[in-house]
Amino acid sequence: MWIYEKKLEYPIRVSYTNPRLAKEIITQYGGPDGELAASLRYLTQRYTMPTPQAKAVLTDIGTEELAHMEIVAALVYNLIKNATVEEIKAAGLDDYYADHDKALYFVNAAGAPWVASYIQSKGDPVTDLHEDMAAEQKARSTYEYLIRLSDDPDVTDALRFLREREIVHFQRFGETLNLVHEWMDSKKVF
Amino acid sequence: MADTKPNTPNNTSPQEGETTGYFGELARAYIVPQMYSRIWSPAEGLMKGTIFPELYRPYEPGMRP
Ligand SMILES: [Fe+2]
Repeated sequence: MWIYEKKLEYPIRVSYTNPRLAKEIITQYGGPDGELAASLRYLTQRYTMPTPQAKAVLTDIGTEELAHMEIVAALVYNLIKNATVEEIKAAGLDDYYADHDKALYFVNAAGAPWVASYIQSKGDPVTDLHEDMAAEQKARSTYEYLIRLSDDPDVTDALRFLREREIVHFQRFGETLNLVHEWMDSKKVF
Repeated sequence: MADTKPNTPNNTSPQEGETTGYFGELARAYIVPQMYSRIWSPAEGLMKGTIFPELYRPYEPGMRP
């Protein structure tokens, strides 16, 4: 179970209405390397992790990714909530608006909906941890591209925070991989 | 060297004589474990995204990995 705290992990603000930037950032909500995919991947893979510590790392990081999903949602919503239909059209967000108004939905930057095939849950802890480390690097890359695209210093500030978390997660998954290898070595019978 | 066991550090490719200096087993990935040392305050850690100076890797547009 979870305990909900009614505040964001990192406080956000946006400088001005910016539906174009929202259209780009929404990929970290429902895109292939986004926070929904990250959280569901880790919270699902944890059942077949072999040690309590490995399960705990996936639970902790999966939980934090949910908090990141909430930060991304808040960024996107604050960038579009005051936009006029004309501004939405000018930003190329009218296709999205036709289906969702200004509601949050899980799509990538090009509007493709989230699919479970973005993630894997393989039952082999070494394999899954390699996927998790790759996922952290893909998320880091995406945040760097979004930082380059961002013309809002307040949004960039939140993107920097989220990017740095991916670096820390990569390290934690790597340390977990070391532990899982040690655990496997301890199980070997000669 | 005849009694050297397999999988010991720095002994995977004796012919090449080149090692990473950390680990030795082929066909697996290694991450250098973090050693707990100095930490930033919670407030500074929140600003930076980590309380661990050794994990802080700020990005500037234009940088390429
Ligand atoms: Fe992450």
